[in-house]
Amino acid sequence: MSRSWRAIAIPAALLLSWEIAADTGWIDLEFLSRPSQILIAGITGLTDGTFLFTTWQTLEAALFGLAIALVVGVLVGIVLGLSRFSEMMSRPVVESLRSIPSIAFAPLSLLLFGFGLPMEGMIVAYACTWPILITTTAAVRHIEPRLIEVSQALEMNSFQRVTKIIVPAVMSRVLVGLRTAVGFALVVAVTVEILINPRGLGYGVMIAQQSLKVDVMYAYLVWLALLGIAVNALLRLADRERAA
Amino acid sequence: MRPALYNTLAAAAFTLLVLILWQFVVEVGLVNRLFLATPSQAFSAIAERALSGTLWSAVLETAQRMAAGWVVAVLFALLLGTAIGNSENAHQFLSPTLEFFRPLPASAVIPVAVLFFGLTATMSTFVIAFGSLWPVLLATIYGYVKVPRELREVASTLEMGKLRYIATVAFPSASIDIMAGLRISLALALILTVVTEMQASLPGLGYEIFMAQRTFRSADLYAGLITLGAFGYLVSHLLLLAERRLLWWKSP
Amino acid sequence: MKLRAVAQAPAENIVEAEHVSMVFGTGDTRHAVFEDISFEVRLGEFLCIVGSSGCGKTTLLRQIAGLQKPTSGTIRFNGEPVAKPTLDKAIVFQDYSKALLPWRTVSGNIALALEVAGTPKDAIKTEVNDLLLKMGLLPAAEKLPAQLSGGMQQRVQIARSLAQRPKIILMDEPFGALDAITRQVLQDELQTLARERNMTVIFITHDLEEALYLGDTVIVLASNPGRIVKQIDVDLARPRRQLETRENPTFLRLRHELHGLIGKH
Repeated sequence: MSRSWRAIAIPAALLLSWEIAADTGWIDLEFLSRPSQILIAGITGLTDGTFLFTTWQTLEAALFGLAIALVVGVLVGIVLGLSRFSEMMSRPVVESLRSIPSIAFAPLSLLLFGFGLPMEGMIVAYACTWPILITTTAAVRHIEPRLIEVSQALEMNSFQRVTKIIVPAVMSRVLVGLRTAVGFALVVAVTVEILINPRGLGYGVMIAQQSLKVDVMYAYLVWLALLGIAVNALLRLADRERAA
Repeated sequence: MRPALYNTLAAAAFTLLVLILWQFVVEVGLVNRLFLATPSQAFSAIAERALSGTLWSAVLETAQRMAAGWVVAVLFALLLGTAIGNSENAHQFLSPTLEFFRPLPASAVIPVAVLFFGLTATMSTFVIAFGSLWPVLLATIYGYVKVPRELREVASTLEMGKLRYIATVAFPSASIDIMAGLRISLALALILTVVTEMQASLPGLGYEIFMAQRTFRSADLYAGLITLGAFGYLVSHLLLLAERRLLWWKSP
Repeated sequence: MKLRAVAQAPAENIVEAEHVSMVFGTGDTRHAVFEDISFEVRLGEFLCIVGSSGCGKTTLLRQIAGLQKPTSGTIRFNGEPVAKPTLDKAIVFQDYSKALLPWRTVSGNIALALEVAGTPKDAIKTEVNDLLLKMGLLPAAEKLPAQLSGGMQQRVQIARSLAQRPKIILMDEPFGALDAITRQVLQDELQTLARERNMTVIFITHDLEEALYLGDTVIVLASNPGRIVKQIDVDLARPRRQLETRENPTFLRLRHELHGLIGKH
């Protein structure tokens, strides 16, 4: 059996036996639903716009948070990277804040902003700032000295050195932190939605579960997985474009 | 003054400065007291709870819940990951499907768990275990797949049996990747513990924060956040120490 | 030119390759790594196989080791067709950093072979110490591979392969990643070792001079497709020395003869 057939053999077999088991009444449809139903629920959700709408809501929050995280993370990261002293001074505060799981701020964020986009976005921002900050600091701190020597040998002036050497060197490493942050953003957003915020994909799943529309619930999960794969694929593409 | 001492003092001074600023901002009224308690309030709340014992019971609840889910998940993931990672067939049949679930947010399983278990402690443990499982499972498989070809070939030249190979060559080789997976899963376990506590009103650090917000006790809310942060730091530090012990041979 | 004294008793062939080929595909997509390779290796012989990249010499070695199978032809070890890797056929890899266990000390790495064989603890200790002494590794005994230079790490690999008590040692460009000076030092150490223990060695290299310096026999492989272009007996006295041997007229003549063969293909 070739590699690709092997990859889908087991999932295909599982889905098939699931479907058959549902037919013969072996499993409780109220808890497990069935693949055909889930597929229909998924297609319905996509065509009637609910999936796309909730996806957009989640993405909005993720982007909102990422934007803030990028600005704060890069700016603070540069400062801490340039001054070893400031990095050390701020370390207890940074490490303490970083240790608090972002989701723990959900009640506080709710208090400050109420339900809706800002509340969620701020938590995403909190979670995503740290990877960006840390990679930026490391990037600024560890600019390859050879590159600086090259810029000196080529007799570049400060502006040229910053634009042609420093910024590109830093950016490529910062983008690695951004990749991690993007991964976090989606997950954190969905988590906040599942917990308390009535918007987005997380809320969609919760509502489906609470109204016992089990097929819709599972369809959302599949959609979430696909979304995650798509985001990862895009990130990898961006990586390759950059490297090219 | 010795540089190390100087640095520590500078860090302490800066931290103190931040706390003073925080205190000032609230005292002066720049921020509404409802939203931001002063550090003095927060820390005295912590002290109060420490003395009355509620702090420790909350920490214990969270720790127990987290540990139960995480440990079970890790053991299962290590065993399963070892089996899959060392069998080319199992790897080819199963890994693509497992990778499919990697980008799924762990919290997305919460509604499913609520459906099956309701808002109970079982739901919480299930979610924590389920979420913790994936990073370790995938990292373990990856670690075994990544064993250098040369090492594998040395093992077969030495006519090592499969089990011996796994124990003396493959597992130590994979341990670096496995440890990375453990770190991720531990952080995830904490998050899921806090989320499910809030969701199902189960006693613990997450619940304390949740209740403090609902009853507008801002001092307790910040006390809870600080406590949670300390707990999280402690837990991840413990893992770091374990890593330093077990992977003492790793070149940085 | 074979200069084997007729009076010499016929030595045992430990390795025999008969019409060994590694060919993929047919027709237009036919790709031959190497074709129709035949040769024998006597017990105690130091055989060097030399050729440029792509001639399949590493693949050939791996097939002798039992790590891969040829698409046609037979390789025999001790009269039996090679089926899989065994303790008899020790391998020394070029990439030492990947071939040693990073979490074990030098002693630990050498001991690995003995542990697997079920040797009792004290016997292991003695043997490991012997090998450490033999390979000049005593000062590094408790160090981790990552703390050693390339040359030292390669010595560890050789020591470990000796611990296996193999019938033959297969070396895949073992000194390729080392600097020139270390390479020469290790060449001489290997030479001494081989003579003392009457080791059978198959040594792969792309360095013609190294092949002539070390080998009793040299096989030249061409590439595209790989095939034996020439097999010669190296008629140079042992022990060989870095300076004198490399200036020896026979050495130079052989160098000229073979150089053309490698360059052409």
